Amino acid sequence: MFTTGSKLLIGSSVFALVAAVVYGVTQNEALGIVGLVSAACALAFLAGVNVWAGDSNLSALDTAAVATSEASDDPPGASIWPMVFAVGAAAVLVGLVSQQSVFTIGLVILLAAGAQWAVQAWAESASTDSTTNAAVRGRLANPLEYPLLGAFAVGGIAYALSRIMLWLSKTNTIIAFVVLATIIACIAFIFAARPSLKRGAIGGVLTVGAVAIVAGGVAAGVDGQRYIHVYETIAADAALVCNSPEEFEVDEGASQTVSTKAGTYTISLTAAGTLEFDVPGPVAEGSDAISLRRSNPNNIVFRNDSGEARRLTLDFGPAPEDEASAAAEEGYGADESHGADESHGDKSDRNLTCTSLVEDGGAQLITVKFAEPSFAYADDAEAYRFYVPGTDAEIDVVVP
Amino acid sequence: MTYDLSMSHQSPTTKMQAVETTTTLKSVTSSRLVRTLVAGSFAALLAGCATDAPQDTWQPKGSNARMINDLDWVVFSIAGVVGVVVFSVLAFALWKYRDRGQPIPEQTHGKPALEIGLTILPALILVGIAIPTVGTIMDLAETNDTECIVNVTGQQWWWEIDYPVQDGCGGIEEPIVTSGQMVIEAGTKVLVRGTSRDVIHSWWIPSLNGKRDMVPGRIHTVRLEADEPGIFAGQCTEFCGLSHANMRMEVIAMNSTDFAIWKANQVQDYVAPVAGSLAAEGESTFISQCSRCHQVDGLTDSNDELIISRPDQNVWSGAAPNLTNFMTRNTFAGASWDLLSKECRPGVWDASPSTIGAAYLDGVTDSCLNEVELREWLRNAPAKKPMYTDPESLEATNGLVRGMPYLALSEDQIDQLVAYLLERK
Repeated sequence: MFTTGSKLLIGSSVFALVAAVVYGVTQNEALGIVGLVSAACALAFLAGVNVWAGDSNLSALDTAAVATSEASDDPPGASIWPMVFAVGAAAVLVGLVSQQSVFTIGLVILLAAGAQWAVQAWAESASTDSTTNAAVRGRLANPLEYPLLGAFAVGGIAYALSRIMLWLSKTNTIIAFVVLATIIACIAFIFAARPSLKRGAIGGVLTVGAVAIVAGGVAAGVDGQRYIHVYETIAADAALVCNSPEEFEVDEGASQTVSTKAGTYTISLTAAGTLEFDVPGPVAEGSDAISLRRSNPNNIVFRNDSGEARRLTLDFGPAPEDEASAAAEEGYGADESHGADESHGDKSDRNLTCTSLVEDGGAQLITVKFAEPSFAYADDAEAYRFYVPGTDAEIDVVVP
Repeated sequence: MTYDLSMSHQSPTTKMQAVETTTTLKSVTSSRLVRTLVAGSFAALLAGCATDAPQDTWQPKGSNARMINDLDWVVFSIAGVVGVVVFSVLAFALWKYRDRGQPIPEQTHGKPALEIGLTILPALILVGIAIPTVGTIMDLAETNDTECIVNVTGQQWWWEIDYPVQDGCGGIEEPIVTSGQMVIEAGTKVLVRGTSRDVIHSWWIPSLNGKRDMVPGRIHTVRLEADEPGIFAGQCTEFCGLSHANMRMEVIAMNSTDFAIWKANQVQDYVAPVAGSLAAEGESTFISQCSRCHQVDGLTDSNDELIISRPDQNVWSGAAPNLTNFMTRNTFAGASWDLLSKECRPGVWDASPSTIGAAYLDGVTDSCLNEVELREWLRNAPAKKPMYTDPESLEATNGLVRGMPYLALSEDQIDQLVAYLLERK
């Protein structure tokens, strides 16, 4: 009376009903009961349909059907994809209430497993021969699977190598990868020189190598990367750096060339120790002041032809009160040991920006942006001007 | 009752009639199409003859635009001759060798002399075009003969124009900042130095010169020179966002006397409204509602401190038009709307070269103000000019607006602001 398929549905329906009872007794909550009873009803309905439809059951007395019925076809092969699909679905649900990354990974798994599952199901309906079906599946899926798997493998190895590189010290990284590259070259040479080598041996060597790299990457990743020094920036210490002709860490390795040849302003420190500026078009402004625009990134190339390493500093006017008080507490500006340039006074309360030290003959780009017009600082003689610490060179800036 | 109209159930006579009807219909349709195309082409041709076309590139009003125009004639003439020859040969070949049931002619491959000739000839034509083209480009890039420098800065969706301190332009001792309308002296070689505060814009006054892209972080130059006084319209020609079509500008050329008056007026000290007047109330409203973004030079607060606008804290581009001399220009909101009423507009825009300077310098008077559109703007600017000001569109800009936002001003406040702005001359 009961068909094979219907037994599963009937059992599931009964299980849901029992679960509803247990849930109802143990939990004082209606929603779960409703859900479980609904599930029991739905499963019971499906079971009824299944029983009514007969589920393709055959009479055991029908000997011809053994060879001709659908039941005589090869059963579907074992498949991991439903399980992977379920994992993906679970990850999606967990990700929805936890982290976006979990959701994204879950979605990728869900889509990949779903595609694989669908392709496999489609291939298994191609014929009654499982070998043929496997070939059909391979023809469709392999052109996509192999490149993707290859990309994942290469990506994994590259990521593992990056972890190893970040774990080793700078010097050891170089040594390690010279050695590794040499080993790879030697092995490749042996493979090339000995074509009679068995595929299994080659595969084994490659597998061991890949596993070793991935294991090394995992170990290095777990142990953490080496200490990487956070390089000093001008913005972090402008009050100190911009007012000094001395060299600081921020000046080490600074670029001394600018690729931009046009479309910018240029300020040059001449051999005579004066600042001159050049702008697109003729300098017909008839003024000692350079005119720059408000609320606009003004790109300025600073060229140093003075014979000494110099930086170009821009005084934006008084610093906001909180910054000024912080600078004063740290003793910047008045502290001569920091190399402060007395000719321009105590700059601890000034809002400054500057280039790194530019060597003689070098050039550097500085981008400055003014929020307020220069007449906002009409009472401040030092506001809005470029100057070169260690010299008397300066140019006023007019911002309309 | 139903009718089966399929031809399979019709008699041969009916079928023939149906075929004839279809053929007639096709003929009528194709005839209409031809008539429409001819009429459309004729209309397009006639449009080229328009004289009242302020942005017509074929009506140069200055030396630089004339250089381009002269080059256009050379290039288009050569291209026209080439086009006529090519299409004539093509039409002849199509007609002469059309399929009349003749056998397929002998198939040959290659004719070196013809191929080399047809390669050299276009190359020579291109060289012939390149010589005057490169020469014109070089001439248009010349800056050494500059007599006046004007900076323009594009932002969504208006142009800021400032005149740096210089000996040029007849001497400028204080920076002048305005927007939408650039005033120059006719016959003076002006160098425009342009850039942008947000996205790429393009400056184009067709009757004075070609287009020039204005790129953030870079200064690009373009020459302008007007033969005689007049108003020359232009617009941004690089798509720059929602209100790109509403980003317009004008160049106002005037004689040297009028230009000197204009310059002097732009740097006059601020004159506060008479105490107790509607304009004085407007000043207070301006300070509370507008001065965060809009600068009026010389405006002070109750402590007699200068009020400095900070549009960078409110607007994505970091700028808003300077309104110090708002009523000395006659358009607003990216030069998209007239400040002059319809009755007064022709008095300035259609004025002769000899009178246009004086007419422009009169500015916008109480009786000539286009009050309706100015009020609409103050009432709800984004409704008049799309500017992404709804909160959902501001996430990408950290809450900063891309144009003037809706300020929920009351009608009384609008009255006060109109009265106050009318005095900004």
